[in-house]
Amino acid sequence: MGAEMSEYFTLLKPARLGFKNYVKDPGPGGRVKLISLGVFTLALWAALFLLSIRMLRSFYSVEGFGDILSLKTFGLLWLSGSALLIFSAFITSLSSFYLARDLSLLMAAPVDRESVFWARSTQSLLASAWMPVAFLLPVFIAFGYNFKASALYYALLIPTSLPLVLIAGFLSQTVVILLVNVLPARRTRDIFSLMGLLGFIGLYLVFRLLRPEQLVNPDSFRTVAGYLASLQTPASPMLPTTWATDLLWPLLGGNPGEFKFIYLALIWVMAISMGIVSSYAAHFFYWAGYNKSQEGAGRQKAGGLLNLGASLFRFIRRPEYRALAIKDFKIFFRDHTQWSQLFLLGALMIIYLYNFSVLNLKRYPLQAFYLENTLAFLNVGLVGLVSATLSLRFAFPSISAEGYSYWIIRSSPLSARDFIQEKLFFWMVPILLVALVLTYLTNLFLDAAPFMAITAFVLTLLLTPGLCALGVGLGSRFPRFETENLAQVPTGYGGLIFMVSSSLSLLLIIGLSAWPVVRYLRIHRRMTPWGLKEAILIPLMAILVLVLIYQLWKRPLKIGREALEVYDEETRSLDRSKGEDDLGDLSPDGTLRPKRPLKASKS
Amino acid sequence: MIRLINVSKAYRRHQAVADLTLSVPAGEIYGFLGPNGAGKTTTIRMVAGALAPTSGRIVLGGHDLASHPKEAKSLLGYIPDRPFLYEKLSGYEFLSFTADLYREPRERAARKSQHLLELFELWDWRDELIENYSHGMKQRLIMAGALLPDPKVIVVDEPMVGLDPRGAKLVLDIFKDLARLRNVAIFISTHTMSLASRLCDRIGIISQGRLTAEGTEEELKNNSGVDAQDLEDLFLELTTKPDAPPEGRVLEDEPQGLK
Repeated sequence: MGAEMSEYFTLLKPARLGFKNYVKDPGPGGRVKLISLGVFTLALWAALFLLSIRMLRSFYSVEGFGDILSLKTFGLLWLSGSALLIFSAFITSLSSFYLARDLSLLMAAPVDRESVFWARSTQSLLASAWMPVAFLLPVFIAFGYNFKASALYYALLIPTSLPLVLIAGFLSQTVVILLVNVLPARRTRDIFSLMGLLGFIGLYLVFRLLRPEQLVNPDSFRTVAGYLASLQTPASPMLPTTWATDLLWPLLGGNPGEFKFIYLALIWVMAISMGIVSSYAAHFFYWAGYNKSQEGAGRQKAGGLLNLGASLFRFIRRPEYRALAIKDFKIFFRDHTQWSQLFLLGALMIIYLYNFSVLNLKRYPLQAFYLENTLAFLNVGLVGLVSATLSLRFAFPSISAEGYSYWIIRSSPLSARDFIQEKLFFWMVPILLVALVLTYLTNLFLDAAPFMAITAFVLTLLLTPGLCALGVGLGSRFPRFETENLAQVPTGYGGLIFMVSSSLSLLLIIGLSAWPVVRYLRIHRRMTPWGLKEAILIPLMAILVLVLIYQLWKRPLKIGREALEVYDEETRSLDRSKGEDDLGDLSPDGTLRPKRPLKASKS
Repeated sequence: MIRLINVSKAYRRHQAVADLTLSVPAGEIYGFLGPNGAGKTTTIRMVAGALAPTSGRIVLGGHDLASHPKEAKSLLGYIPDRPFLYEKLSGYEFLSFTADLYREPRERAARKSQHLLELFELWDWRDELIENYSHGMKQRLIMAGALLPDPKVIVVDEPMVGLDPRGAKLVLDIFKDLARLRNVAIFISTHTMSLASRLCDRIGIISQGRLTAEGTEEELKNNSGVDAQDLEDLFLELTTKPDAPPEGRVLEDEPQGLK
């Protein structure tokens, strides 16, 4: 047992030491990154905390609903947090157990395979859990603050969350281990596709169950009693998340007399049981599955439909653009791990459009015009968010997607400008298409006025390329060519910068556009006459918006191009600013120093 | 055809290459030798445009790599030591991609691709995805890709890594023909002394980032002041650190009590 434990800790050493070294010396700009990440996290926590408090207080503004809604939200948070954990653990398990590059080295080492499994399991648990836990913690603290909970509530938060993390992790690991054995060898990609499909079905079901259209249907309020009754229906008593809710709710809005430690015991028993099941699965199936995953996929032919699709790019006149576009197209569609993203994208679009199609705003004849047009305008922001999400998922990692093969581009006559331009156009066209289709159809569903429909369409047409440019530009500024999993690229520091920049840009552009648009609508409805203020401010703000959009397009591309021009994969840590180049530069007039007399002489 | 003028490269506090000046005329095969960590790969990658020097100039065919990268790189074929390729493309698709990248006319590129794939014995595998290729096959494909645009300069890092003896001989013959018949300047970095001895017209030895000797094999032997039987002896003499263990004793004695 002692030897196994020692092996286990040794196997965790590379990750532990790597983390320690990174904290000790994060490289040039690393400290700034760490500090800005810390500031961002604190700001996010504060925002989450304040938003949660506000939400909970608003629940109590409707008499009789407060407790029920708070309880339901509390339960839903545990449930959705666990679902997120399972999904996240599924992805990290697959990569940790079967795809990581160092596995062959570990498997060849004289260590017990189960030690390898447990070390990988720990790393996978940590990698998958930190984000959902970090984001949910301020929300749970807000619950405690709002209900003036005792210290016991706060003390129990971690002992309750930890076994739930373990349950989600062990469950995902067990499923992954079994799936890799059941599916044909080297079909991990199929697992990703399956995951995407399951994600699609799951999202669809969640959406259907929520029935958002009911919120604007006055008829539904006639059955408030029935609605309340449905809310009071208890959640499944077999779920560990229900036990977590039942454990902690009495310390919040419930009856403190109903507090029972048995729920905590139940969650821990479940976690330990899942650990045992996972351990058995690993004992019997991990090694066999690992072997299967290492087998060659056989001779896999290129061609078929994909070549037909790629022929669409033949019309591109510049051969280097054409070469890159065809390559990117083929690689994207041959990489089945990308498919899950496409499934989710499809689900997102369907849900988005469905939401708008069921909004029947004509029920409010007096306000229908304003509701329709205000929503049509706000829809530009929502479509902008969709474009930003797509840019983050596809345009941002497109530079890092070159991976270790980036040397081919670096040593070719292709300039960084051309390289970035191709990436931009490659992703901008489909993302713009999606954004325009969404805008057109939502305007159609909303029956928006022609002015608003055209404004929304034009704003989307201008804004989307800007967001794509931001994605490609920042993707070039923060490339991760060494990444093992492309899906992880948007989760890094550069992705964070993109999210913040795109959200701020959207807010700014939509905020600046709002006043002229509303003003114009009012004038159009003859509620406000044209005045000098409007005549000056409307065109001025329109120009300002255009300038901002132009900057959104231009600046990130410039930053990205400059970053790629000086990019050295081995010198990312080279600090030019410290003047460590002690050998001096070539003389400014371009004259050359005489060649040193080195001919066959030992120095 | 290749000129390095006072080229230096620093990684934070480490000086990888220091004040390197050398030139390789057209039709010459230049062997670049040195121990591990001497700065060979850094130099090779700087010449290939994959890494920017901290100072100094690199000129290929009269074009400065820093100020006219496009023109300079158009003349270049680069063969790195590690065969990182686009795994989801087939071999033929990779060559077609390379041809477009170097603006090769399509018909000519198709003809050359077939010839190169046949030459490197990859024709039967042309439509398979690269992810299914062996290490040696990937290396041969990279060579085919490097030769496709008819480069005037070839930069090679460890050419024989991953190749079987048959593949190695083929590559050796190709390099010789390229230099003799097509006047191509070839800059090769290698650890293999026999290869350098058989293939290279001139040899440069780099140690701790500095060029310590340069010339033909004979010149090196005659002028170095070292009693060397062959290139390997010479290399060891020129690159051995003063604190290295004496010849014939590599491992230290086992400490008492551990036996």
